[in-house]
Amino acid sequence: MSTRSLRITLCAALVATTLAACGGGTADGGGDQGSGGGTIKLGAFSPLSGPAVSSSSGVKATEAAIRKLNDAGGINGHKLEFIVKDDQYDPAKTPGVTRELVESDNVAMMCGPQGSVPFGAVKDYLAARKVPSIVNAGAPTLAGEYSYLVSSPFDGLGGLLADYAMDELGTKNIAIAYSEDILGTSALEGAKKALSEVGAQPAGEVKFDVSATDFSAQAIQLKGTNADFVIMPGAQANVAGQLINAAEKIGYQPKWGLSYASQNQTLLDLTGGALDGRAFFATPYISPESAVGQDYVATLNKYFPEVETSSGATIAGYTIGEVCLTVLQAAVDEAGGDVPSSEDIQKVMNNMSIDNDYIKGINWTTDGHEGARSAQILALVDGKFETDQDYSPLPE
Amino acid sequence: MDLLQASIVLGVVVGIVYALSGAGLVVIFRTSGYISFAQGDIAAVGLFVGLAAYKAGGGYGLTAVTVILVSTVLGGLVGGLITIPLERHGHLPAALSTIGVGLIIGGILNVTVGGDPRAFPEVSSAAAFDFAGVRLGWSDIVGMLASAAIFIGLGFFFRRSRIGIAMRAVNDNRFAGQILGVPDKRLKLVGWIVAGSLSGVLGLFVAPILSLSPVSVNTLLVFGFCAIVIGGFDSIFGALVAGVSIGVLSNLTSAYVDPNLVPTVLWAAMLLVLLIRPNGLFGRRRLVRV
Repeated sequence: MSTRSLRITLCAALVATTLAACGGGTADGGGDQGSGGGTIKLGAFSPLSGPAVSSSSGVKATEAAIRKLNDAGGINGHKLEFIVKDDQYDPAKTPGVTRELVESDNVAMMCGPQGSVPFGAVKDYLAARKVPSIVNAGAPTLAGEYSYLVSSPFDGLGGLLADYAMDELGTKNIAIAYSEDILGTSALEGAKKALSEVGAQPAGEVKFDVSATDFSAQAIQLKGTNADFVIMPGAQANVAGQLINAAEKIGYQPKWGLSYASQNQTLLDLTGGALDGRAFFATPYISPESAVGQDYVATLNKYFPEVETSSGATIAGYTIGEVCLTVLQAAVDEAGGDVPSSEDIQKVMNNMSIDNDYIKGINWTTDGHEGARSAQILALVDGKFETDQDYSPLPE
Repeated sequence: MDLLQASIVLGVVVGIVYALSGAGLVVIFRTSGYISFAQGDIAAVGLFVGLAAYKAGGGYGLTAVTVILVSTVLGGLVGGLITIPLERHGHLPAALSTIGVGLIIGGILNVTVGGDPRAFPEVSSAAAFDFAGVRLGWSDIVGMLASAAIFIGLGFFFRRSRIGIAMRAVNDNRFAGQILGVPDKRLKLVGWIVAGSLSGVLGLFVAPILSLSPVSVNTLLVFGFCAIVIGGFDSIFGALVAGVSIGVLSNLTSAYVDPNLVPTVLWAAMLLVLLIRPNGLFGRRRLVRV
C-alpha cells in the first residue's frame, strides 16, 4: 500500500469512527456535553391536534415550567430543549413519534408524555432503549423499570375520599360509582377498604359505562341507596357531569367525591352551578387558589395565556414539569455538572423523594415507581377549587 | 322510588330522542334510498354556530333558530352539491360520500373549535312536575311535544302531501316518476333539507344532555341507526316505536344486568329482528340498496 493510500485509509477510518461515535448506540443523554452551556433534551408526546387536543394543556403547562427555568438561566448553565410530538392521542401513532424522539432527537428522558393508552403502547420500547419517563397518566400499571408516575393511585384517592366523608362530613352513608376499568375499580377497592376499616359497608356500588349516552339508570340506582356522599374519583368531567345531571333530574342531590380527573371548567359548565358546595376533589396537585398556585397561574399566563389554569390536567402537567426539573438538577449534580446521560437520570430517579410546594409523598426507589402517596381535598366554593383539607398521607 | 318504574319513564324520555335521530335517517332513505352518515356532523356545525350566538347574547330562541337554520342550509348544501349528483354513479358512492363529508366536517371542527366537551343551553332548567318518581323538566316536556309534532307532521307529509308522496315515488321508481314529470332531484334536495333541519332539532335535545363536542350527536346516532333497522328503514312510525323501545331496553339492561352490556343487547336485538323480519318490524319492502 502506498503512503497516499495509507493516509486515505486512515482518514476514512477516522471519519467513520467519529460518525459512529456521534450517531450510534442507544440514547446517550442527548444534546451537547460539557459543563455549562450544554443542552439537555427532553421529549413528550401529546394530542396537539385531533379530537383530544384539549388534553394538550398538560404538556403546555409542562413546557411553561421548563421555559421559566430556561429564562432563569437553566440548570448549572445548561439549557433545556423540550421537544413535543403530536400523536393525536392515538396509540397507533405514538410509537412512530416516540422513535423520532429517541432515535432522531436523542432525548435524554421523556417528561410528561400524555395518556395511559398511548404510553402503554411505547412503555416497553422506551424501557428497551433505556430512556426514563415521568408519565402524565394515572393508571398504576404504567409504572415500570423505566417509567415513573406522579399522579396518586386511585385506590388511595378513593380511600381518602371515604375517610374525608366520614371524618369531616360526618357520614358513613356512602355509595361508590365506578367504571369497570383500572381507575374505576382501583377507586372502588380503595374506598371499600377505608370503609371496612371502621366496620362500615358502602350503601351501594353502582357501575357505569364511560361511553354511555344515558346515565339515568345509574342515577336511579344511586338514589335508591339514599347515600349522602357518592365517591366517583375515576370519572372524567363529561361523564361525571352527565351522571350528576341525571341524579339532579330525579331530585337526588348528594355530595360528590371526585378527583383531579374531573376538576375543570367543563364540569362546572355542564352542571350549571348545581355542584357549588357539594363537590370535593381528591388531588395530589396544588389548588390554583393557594399561594403557590398563584405563582403557577402567573407562569401559565405568561407563557400560555390561553390555557385553562383551574383544570386538574393543566396543574398535573405543570407539576410534572417541576418534578422533571427536580430530577434533572439532581442528575446534573450526579454527572458532576455536565449534561447528564439517560443512565445518570435514571440513577437519581431510583433513589428520589420529592416533597415540595408542588407535590408531596413521592418516594421512588429501584423497585417502586408509584405516584404521590399524599393528597389534599379541594372543595368547590363559588366556582373555585379551594383547599378544604390539607395534604395527608393516602390510606394504605 | 321504584327502580323499574323510573327506568321505564326515563327510558321513554331518552327513547324519544333516539327515535328523532332515526327519523332524520328515514327521511333521506325514503327519498334517496340510502343512509346519510353525516347527520351528526351537520348538526354539530349548527350547534357550534348556535352556541356562538348564545354566547354573543342571543337568547335560547335565537340559538335554537340559528342551530336549525344552519343545519338546514348545510344539509341542503351537502345533498345538493355532493350526494345527489353522485347518485348517477349509484347509491353506494353517494352513501360513501356522506362518510367522507362527515369526516371532513369533524376534522374541520376539531381544528377550529377543538374536541373539548362544553355545556349547551337547554330551553329551561326548571322542573315541570313529578311523574312516577321522576322530576320531569320543562325541557323534557318541550322535547316530547316537539318530537310528537315532528312525528305527526312527518307522517302526514309522507302520506298526505303531494310533495311527500312524490318523494316516496321518486325512491320507489325513479324512471316512472320521471315519465310522470316528477322533479326527482329537486324532491331529493327537499329530503336533504328536511333531514338537515331534523338533525338541528335533534342536536338541540342531545347537546344539553351529552354536552357539545364534534362527536356528541354522532354518539347518539348509533341508537338512531339501531332504531330504524328495528323499526324499518322507511317507517317513521317504526323509528318512533323502536326508538322508545331501545330507550327502555337500554335503561333496564343498565339497571338490572350490566351497563357495559347495553350496546351488546342492542346489537343482539337488531340482529334478531333482521333475522326474523329483515325489513324491520314496520318496514314496507325488502332492502336491496345501501
